[in-house]
Amino acid sequence: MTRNVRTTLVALCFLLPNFAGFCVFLLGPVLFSLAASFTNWTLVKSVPFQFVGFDNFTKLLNDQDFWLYFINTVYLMMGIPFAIAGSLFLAIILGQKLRGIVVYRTLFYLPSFTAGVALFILWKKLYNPEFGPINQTLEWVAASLGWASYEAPHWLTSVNNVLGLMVEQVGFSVERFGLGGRDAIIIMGIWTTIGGGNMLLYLAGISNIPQDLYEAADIDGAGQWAKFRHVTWPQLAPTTFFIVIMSFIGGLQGGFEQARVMTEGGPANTTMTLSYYIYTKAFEEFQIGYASAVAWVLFLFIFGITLVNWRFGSKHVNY
Amino acid sequence: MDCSEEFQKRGIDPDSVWPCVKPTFMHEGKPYGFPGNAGANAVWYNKRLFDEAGVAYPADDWTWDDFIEIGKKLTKRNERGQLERVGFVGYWDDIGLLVRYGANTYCPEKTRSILDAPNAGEAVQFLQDLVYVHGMSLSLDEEKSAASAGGWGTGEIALFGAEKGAMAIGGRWWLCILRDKAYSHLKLGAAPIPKGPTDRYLGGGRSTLVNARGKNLEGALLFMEFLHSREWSELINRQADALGPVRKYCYSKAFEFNPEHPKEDYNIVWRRSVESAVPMEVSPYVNGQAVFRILEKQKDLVKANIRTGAESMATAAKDINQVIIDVLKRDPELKERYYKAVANGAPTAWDDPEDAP
Repeated sequence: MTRNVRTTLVALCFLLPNFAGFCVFLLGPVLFSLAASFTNWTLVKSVPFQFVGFDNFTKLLNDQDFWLYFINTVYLMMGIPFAIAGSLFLAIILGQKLRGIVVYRTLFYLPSFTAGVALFILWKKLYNPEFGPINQTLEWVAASLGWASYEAPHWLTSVNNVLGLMVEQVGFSVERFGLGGRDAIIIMGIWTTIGGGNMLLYLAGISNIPQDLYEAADIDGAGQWAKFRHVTWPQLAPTTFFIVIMSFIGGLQGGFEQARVMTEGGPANTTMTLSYYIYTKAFEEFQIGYASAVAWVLFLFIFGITLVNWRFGSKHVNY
Repeated sequence: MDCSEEFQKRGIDPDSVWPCVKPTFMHEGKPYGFPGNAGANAVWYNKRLFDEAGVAYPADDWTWDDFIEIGKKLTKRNERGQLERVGFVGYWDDIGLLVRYGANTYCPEKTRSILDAPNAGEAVQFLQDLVYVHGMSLSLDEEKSAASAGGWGTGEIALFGAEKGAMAIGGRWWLCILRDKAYSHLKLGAAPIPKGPTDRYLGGGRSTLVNARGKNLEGALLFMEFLHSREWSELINRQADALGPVRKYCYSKAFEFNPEHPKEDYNIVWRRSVESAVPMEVSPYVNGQAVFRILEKQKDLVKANIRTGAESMATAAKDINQVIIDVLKRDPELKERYYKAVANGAPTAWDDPEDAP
């Protein structure tokens, strides 16, 4: 055995535990679910197991519930641009060399390492329509401005939304305009993520911008906004590109914990996302085959959108 | 495991239990286990709040009109219009009300949901009217507010126990919590569910079933004997975890009066509730969890005053029937059984023959 072969074998042995874990806990289940998506597998004995081809996929394309929950999922992603902009803004502020800045960075990062369930329960109380601080504040402000007829939003108990989406079918209705459960989850999501990993990435990105670019801008008489527009923003393009892709992926996969803890998909399934739908189909109705098909269609959406982001976003990334 | 033979050998009589709990352990006339308890809801009321408001306690033959009148008198709001106390803590026992109104979830053969019948809509409309017409029960917002605001706690029992509601529909098993010293200030009373339109109400219980592949069948069957015994029923009756499963052990003086809890002078009310209770309907052609989600969605819309009772039940019936059609499409054994029932005159879940699976 030559030295090269021996070295390679040793390297493979070191990689083997990780690779074996990957195969057993990730690749295996993923391939299994792909196979399951082409079957009628339920956990009911009287249903004979059989391959049904693309029946599950055809069914879900005609399933109104699937499209309603897809719309819910996409709706909840409306907060992503605001969260990214907020993270960038915070990173710029917290990138200053000021006394005590580390304390502020820690405070803003706090929600990221607080247990999700605890945060959701906290926000559920904040959104309490009668006694929650949010509505109490809104009503106080309205009273101060003399708006006697102001009614604070009902948040998690309301099916209204800023786009006026209908509840039981795909469509719009003027009656459904307002702030409701979905919007409440978006606002909470922005608060949770604004000081999190994205802010850290931007902080790192900002610290890597060569200072001579700013000096050159100063010499050219650029103000703060011009420096941001022509130096900071373009230099952060790779970071923004990465954050946008990861946020889209996270957004399409997400919504499960919030729905499970705060609303159980309600009111009237308006906060039910595709990930929660997969859970109910698989673990409440035991339709494993169909749930797997929904999961794979979701994967295809995520993959497709990531490719689009990559194709068009990478043009604007300068290295 | 079909325990018919073993039960016969051991003298365990499945017919000795309350009728409402039979579906939880019997299937096609054979016992597969035995119940641990049985119960049906009645109306808990807070005597202190009644005394404070100068309202007479509910009579045994009170009606829904009496219930509404009493509830309105006991509802209290502050100067901002926020609820301080409701007449009726909003346990949306919609299934119970459906039964009371004589409505059924399914036709007798369980092949079709008939929630689109007028009486089903009336039952749910009644619950909605308690909130939006009579103002004596919690709206969806108020329910969520009450459930999470400081001091109110969560759930109907906590609300009732905190004296935020003068009446509540619940079971005898509430005593497992209300007997705690945290609630020792409560002066409790119980009244039957108000009369009309029918005398039926929903009942149930929990059962232990025997696993045919269990490693200790003898132990499991001995446990069945124990559940059938006087000792077990009397234990359940003393602990107030609903009622003991065997009827005859609930007609004793020991049940009617427990010297350890002398103030509990309402045990007969719970027994009477179980006597007239009917079991929850299930259909073999549809997953119960799917039905639950469908009903919960419609309940949310009714609670939020977006839909009327009739509209919500019509949609629920349509959705449940669609689920039945979907199940039949993928389960040939159930489909064969379904069509046999249809051949014997059972209605189908579809109106258009083109929708037939």
